Amino acid sequence: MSNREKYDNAFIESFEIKKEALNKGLEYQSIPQWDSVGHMSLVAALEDTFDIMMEMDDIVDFGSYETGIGTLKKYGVDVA
Amino acid sequence: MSFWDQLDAFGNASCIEGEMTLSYGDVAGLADGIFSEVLRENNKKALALIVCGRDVATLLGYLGCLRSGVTTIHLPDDMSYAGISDYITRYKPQYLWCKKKLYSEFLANEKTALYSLYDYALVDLRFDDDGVDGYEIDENEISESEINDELALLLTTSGTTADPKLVRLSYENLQANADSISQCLEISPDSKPITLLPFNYSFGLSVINSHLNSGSAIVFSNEGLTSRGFWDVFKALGVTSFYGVPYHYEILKKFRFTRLDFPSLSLMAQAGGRMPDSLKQEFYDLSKTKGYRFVCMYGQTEATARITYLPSSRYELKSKSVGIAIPGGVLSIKNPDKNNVGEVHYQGANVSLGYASCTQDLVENNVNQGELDTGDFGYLDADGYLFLTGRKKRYIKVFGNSVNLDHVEKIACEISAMAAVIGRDNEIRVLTIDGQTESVKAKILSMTTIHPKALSVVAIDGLLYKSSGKIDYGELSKRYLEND
Repeated sequence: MSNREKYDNAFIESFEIKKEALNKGLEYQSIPQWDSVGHMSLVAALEDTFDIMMEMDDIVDFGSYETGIGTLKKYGVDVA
Repeated sequence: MSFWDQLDAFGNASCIEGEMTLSYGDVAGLADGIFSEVLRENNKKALALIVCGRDVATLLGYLGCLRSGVTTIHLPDDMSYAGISDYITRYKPQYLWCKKKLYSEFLANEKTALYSLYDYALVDLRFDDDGVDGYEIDENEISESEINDELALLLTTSGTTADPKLVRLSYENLQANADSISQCLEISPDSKPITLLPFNYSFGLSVINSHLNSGSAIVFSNEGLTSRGFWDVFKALGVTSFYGVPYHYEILKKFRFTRLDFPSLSLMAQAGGRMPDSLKQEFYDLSKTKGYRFVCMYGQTEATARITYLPSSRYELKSKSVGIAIPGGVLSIKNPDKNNVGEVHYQGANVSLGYASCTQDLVENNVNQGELDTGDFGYLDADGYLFLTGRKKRYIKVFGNSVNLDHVEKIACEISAMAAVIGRDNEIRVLTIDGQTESVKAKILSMTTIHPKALSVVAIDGLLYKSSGKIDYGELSKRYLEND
């Protein structure tokens, strides 16, 4: 599975959404599932998937499907 | 004097939200402005419903009610319109104080706002002159003048499931809680909490009340723990006091909070459910290292939020205890067994008047008379420290919110006639025997604000019963929950 697929799966499984919902508009609090509970389960899923530990600053700044790609890059994970 | 009437005594203390800073004097003036016009006309008691944010506007609506003798119902702002409608139909409040956005969507702008302030509006829910109907007033209607004089506020026991049952809190309850918490947490004008917990939640409201009571600065924010905005404000304004439920501490742990520095922090307090011992220990150790207090508390909405507290200085000796009774409260154990375990009973001025489930109940007197059977089991040690061992009521906590499993079961049974609901903290499991798992799940999610992450529906072959014919939840839990 490519990193991109793994990244997408973390969102799909954490928020119980379809692949079609993964787009630029997918942001923190843009859908009911992406609340603080959803946020923490997304972070846990990404950390497990890529075997990383995110800093608090990166967790609270993890604001969207799109910008998250840049965040993961800091941890040596190339999604794009 | 009560904390809501003596705001002017702390005229210079402040409430801060974003760029705005209001003195307590300003707060008193603005709060009085909300109801001054409408009440001058009728000069009688009324019932208002407040859809609560964690902002200054919610505070003003709440204080406006307290200061003018309007009884209020506090509901969470994530409740569905259907849920809010249920409360309106059942309790028939005259006024609604909520975000303008909610008011325009929910009431489709059928009614003009009587008053508006910031992004909130006050609406009269009854008939108005233009002939637009509010709700019908039926023969069983009570008139406002019959609302019990002592009744200040009604809170849900479980906001998540829209359970119509409310706890009736008196003016005396609110003040008693504010006094005892100010005292045991040593709240002072130098304290500065932030509103992480909503005002419809008794613990969250208690944080506000006890700080208003002490003339503290209060920081208001609608942001959550996982928002950048929350932490920016926390640091920039030098918040001193963090109040959270166990789930919030789980998030902080995830943040590896122990490695972060918040120099202004002087108190971390926890209530709202059982916190795992290891997590408690971690935050206690941190508090020792950083030189602040860590206080765990236990309570119920029925006791205006708080019953016991474990002072930081006693943590090492009594780490598995929920603490001693708050100032003014007395604990006892009813019908203790040979190990001295029995039902925890509490006596104090913060014990609610009773419950309400319809408008007629607002007339009711104080049925509890300061005595509360908590429904929790436990024992007291020789020093008066309470140790909890279990609970009688079928309540669990889901990400900080109380959920009544019986209420969830009732909803499940509307789809699947044979359903039983079991659960533990952050995990609700619905067992059905007719395989309609998807529709049961959809129904529960539509009727409640239970987080989907905490809910699973499982088809099983058959329910288990006790010899009395009642569902054997203990055995079902053993079989379908604990052996995962």
